[in-house]
Order: sequence, then structure tokens, then C-alpha cells
Amino acid sequence: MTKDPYQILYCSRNCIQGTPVQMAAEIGKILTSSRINNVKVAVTGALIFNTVFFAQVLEGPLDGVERIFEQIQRDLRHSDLMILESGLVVARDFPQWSMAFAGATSEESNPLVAATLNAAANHPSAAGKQVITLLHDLILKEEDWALPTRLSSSAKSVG
Amino acid sequence: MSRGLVEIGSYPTSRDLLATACRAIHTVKEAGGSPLFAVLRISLDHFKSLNETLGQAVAGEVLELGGERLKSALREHDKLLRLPDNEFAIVLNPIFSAEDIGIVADRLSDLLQRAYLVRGQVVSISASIGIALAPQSGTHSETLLKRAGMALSSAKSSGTGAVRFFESAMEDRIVARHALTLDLRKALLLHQLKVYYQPQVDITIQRLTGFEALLRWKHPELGWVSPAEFIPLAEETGLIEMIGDWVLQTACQQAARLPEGIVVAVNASPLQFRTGSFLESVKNALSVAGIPSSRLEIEITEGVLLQNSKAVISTLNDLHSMGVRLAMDDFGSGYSSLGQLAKLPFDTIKIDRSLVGESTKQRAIVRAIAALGNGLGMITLVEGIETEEQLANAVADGCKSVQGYLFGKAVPASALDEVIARLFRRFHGLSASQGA
Repeated sequence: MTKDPYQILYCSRNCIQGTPVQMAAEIGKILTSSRINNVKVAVTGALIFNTVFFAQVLEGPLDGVERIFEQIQRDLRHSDLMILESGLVVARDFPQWSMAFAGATSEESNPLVAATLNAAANHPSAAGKQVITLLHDLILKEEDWALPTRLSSSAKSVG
Repeated sequence: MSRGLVEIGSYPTSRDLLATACRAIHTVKEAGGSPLFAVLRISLDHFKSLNETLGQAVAGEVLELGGERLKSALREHDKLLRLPDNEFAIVLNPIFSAEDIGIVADRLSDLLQRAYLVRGQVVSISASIGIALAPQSGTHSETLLKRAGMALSSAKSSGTGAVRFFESAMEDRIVARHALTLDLRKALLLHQLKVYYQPQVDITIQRLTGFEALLRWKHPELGWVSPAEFIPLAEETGLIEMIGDWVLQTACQQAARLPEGIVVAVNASPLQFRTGSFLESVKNALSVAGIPSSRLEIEITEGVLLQNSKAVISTLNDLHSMGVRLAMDDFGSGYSSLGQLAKLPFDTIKIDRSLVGESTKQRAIVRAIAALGNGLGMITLVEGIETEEQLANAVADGCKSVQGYLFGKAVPASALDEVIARLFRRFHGLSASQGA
């Protein structure tokens, strides 16, 4: 018997400064460590980034989500975190991802991502579904392109 | 994202900052200079109400997480301490400059005010921080801790989420307040407190109808101390009950010496309603003075109604059924709840002096309150009437009574006969000329 997973969706403001290359490298680090940490507590999720904002979904057992969320809250690489959705859900949205990644550094910025994250930052109460849908679409696309690996390698190769 | 405070490119984490400071301090030390350090006191804002609304377990976990967040931002030689009353203290040692410590404090404040996820609930809270720097604000840890506490109180009183450095003025204020409190304890015994009386007149029938009793304190060294300064001290220390009882008794005894029909109005502090003995105090004062209860009016502000209103309302109803008059003071300056006016048995609405003026807005409000008072069968009295013109406006706007310098400022009991005679002459003269 498994309990319903807890899901939290937030967006926050990026505090990482530097060139697109440095930023990509930093996002690469974030993804690597979050994948390691999430697996330990059975948390899955997705991260979206557009140089100004982050949006992230975390889902899994409540204590795992709480632990990861608290680690994230201590991270000074972002600020002004707003919670868009939180609570129990029937099923995970990203069950196969320890931390899926969608989005880009400035060179690959996607207007839809920018528009959605802006809307989320300005209307946090209304934006939850929209952001999750966007994450879904983008991540599926990136899955087609086999991007999760490409991104970290591209960050390395550029750096 | 991973655990925070990893060294990253150009991002200045507090650890970076402190590490830089650390190196600089070592340089100073090696050169024989004296190192700086800082004591911070941190408390979560409105933590008690968090306790009440979400329960101790959740609030306790938030406090734990807050402590861990602070710890995660500190360096090896910094110390994090838990103080009583859900407070934290941090000793940052060493530091480089006051500016740096300000940046660190802002960062700590940011970390603490980030949302917490506890037992599936999202909790938001902010933190206030007070800072004392060594050696500028002291060198002993106790002094520094105390002064950081004063800075924290100052931060808390300026709102939520504030960061304040200790300033000697804070201590001066606290020391002065403390001294004044000690003096206030003695003031009653040493007969430094006086009750003054300001006339209230009914302008529709041109008659003196009452006096408002006003507390005055003549301090032996400071001279007259404003009630705005010492009443809050009396409320904080609980002295207000004793002082309030004394004013009631003094005013009632004075009423006994005044011509019949003249009412004495006494202000009651919200604190006097808290202990539940106010009704007894009033009964006692009336019986000792031997005056009918209709000679006493109790003035309350809306602040009285805001707290613990069930007990307060029942006390007010009891006073009313005894025949004591009730006045709503400072109406128009605060919430000015019409519902409260209708619900409670007030005899008088005192219109706040801030509404006395020439502007059409002010006058429209005064007219509306006067109409309301007439409709509810209450007397409307305007305070702060200083000129004949203001008086004419008050009459035109439908007010029944006034109080203010035009008819006399507050005077000691010894001058009351003179005031009564002067007002009699004024009204007598006026009615004679009107009659002619």
C-alpha cells in the first residue's frame, strides 16, 4: 500500500550571476546534486529555468519532499520563492525523473517559458496548473531530444 | 537544487563574505590591532500567534528549522545559541566592518523568512534582528548581549523583518523610561499627581454641564510630564489600576463639591477593564463621595472595546444600568465603528479634535456624526474648540456640546469656582444680549 504523493510547485528568482556559460555550469551543478539527493528520499520532479526565474516541482513522500524543500530554501542561489501549489496529489507528474530539466540559458531562451514564468511570478495563485502543463510539454520534448544528458554535457563543453 | 552556500562563481555568499572578513581580521591581529566581533539577537516575528494557530508541534519544528538555517549560514568559529523566549543569538567572530555585518544580517533575515514546509503545511514567518558590535558597543559579552537585545526590541517595534544596530540613544531611552517608571511609582504617594478639570458646555442651552477630569504629573525635576508619556508607562507596569482608582475617587469627591447637575467625566484605560474590578472601583468611588451615579461619566476609547469585548461590554452595561453615564472618546480618529455605537448604551459621543477644522470634508464628517448622535439619542460633544468661528461651525453642524480652550483649559480644583463664575457671566451676558 502506498500513500498519495505530496507535491509542491514553486517559482523563485535566480540569484546566480555571471555569463551564460557560468550560469549553465551552475545549473548543471544544481541538477547533478539534486538528482543525487532526490533519489535518496524517493523524490522526483522537474526544474525549469530561464535566467530570471526558476520553477520547480517536487513530489514524493511528504518527509522526503519536506527535506528537499528545506535544503532548497537554504540555497542562496535563488530568492523570493513563491509556492504556487502544495498538497497531496493522486499521482506523480514526473515519476520517471529524479529531476527533469526544461528551459535554457539565455542563448536558448524560449518565449513560452519566459511568458509562463512571468505570469507565475505575477499571479502565483492562478499559475500552478499552467506551469505544470508547460513543464510537461517541455520535458517531453526534451526527452525526445534526449536532452537531460545533452544539457549537462553542453555546459561542460562550453565551459 | 543542492544544499546552499556552495562557493559559486561571482555569487557572494555570507560565507564568502565572512571568509574575507576572517582573513582581514587575521591580518589586523597579526599587526597587533584589536579584532571586531558582533553579537546578533534574532527572533521570529509573532511566533506566539504561530504557536496558537498551528500548534506547538508545528511552531516548534519551524523554530528548529530556523535554527538549522542559521547554522547552515555560519562559519566555523561563529557561535549559534538558543536563548529563552524562542530567541537565537549569534556571535560572529571575527568580522570586518559594520557594513559587512549588515549584509550578513540581511541574508540571515532572508533565510529565516523563506517559507517552511512542515507536516504538509506551508508556514510563513519573518524575523527581526538586533546587532551589537564589539568593541564599539561594549566588550563584555553580557553587555553586548543586552545591547543586541535593545536593538532587537527597537527592530521589533518598527515592524516585522527589520534589522537594527544598537545605538546609545536606545539605551538612553530605556534608562530614562526606567527612571521615569520608578518616579511614577512614587508620584502618587508624594502627591505629584493632580487631577485637572476642563469645562464641557451645552451650547444649545448655553450652560456648563460638566468637567472632564484630566490627570497631570508635575515631576520634581522634569516639570510637567505629558500624559502621553507616562500613561503608557503606567499601563505597562500595571500602575494604571492604582492611579485610575485614585483619579476616580478624586474626581467623584470633587463632583460632590460642585453644583448639582454638573457631571464629572473620567477617562478609563483599556487596562482598567482587564482585571474585572473596575465596576467595584466605580461603586466604591461613588459611595465614598456620596454622589448619585448620574454625576459620573466614564469615557472610553475604542481601544477598550477591541480587547476582550465580552467582559468589557458586560461591565459597560452594568455601569449604564447603575446610572453611570458613558462616553465614547476620540470618535472619528480610529475605527469609529457605528455598530459599536448602536450596540452599547453610550450617552455621549466625543468627536475627536482632529475633525475640528475648516475643510468641507471635516465638517461633513462632523455633521454626519452629529446626525448619528441625534438619531441614537446621544449627546455629541466636539473637543478642541478654540475659536468663536469653530464654535459657530460646531453649532451649525448640529453638535450639542463642546469642550476646548474657548471655554477654558483644564484647571486645578482650586480654580473651579472661578471657571464656573466666568462661564455663568458669559452665558448670562450672551442670553441677555440675545434677549434684547
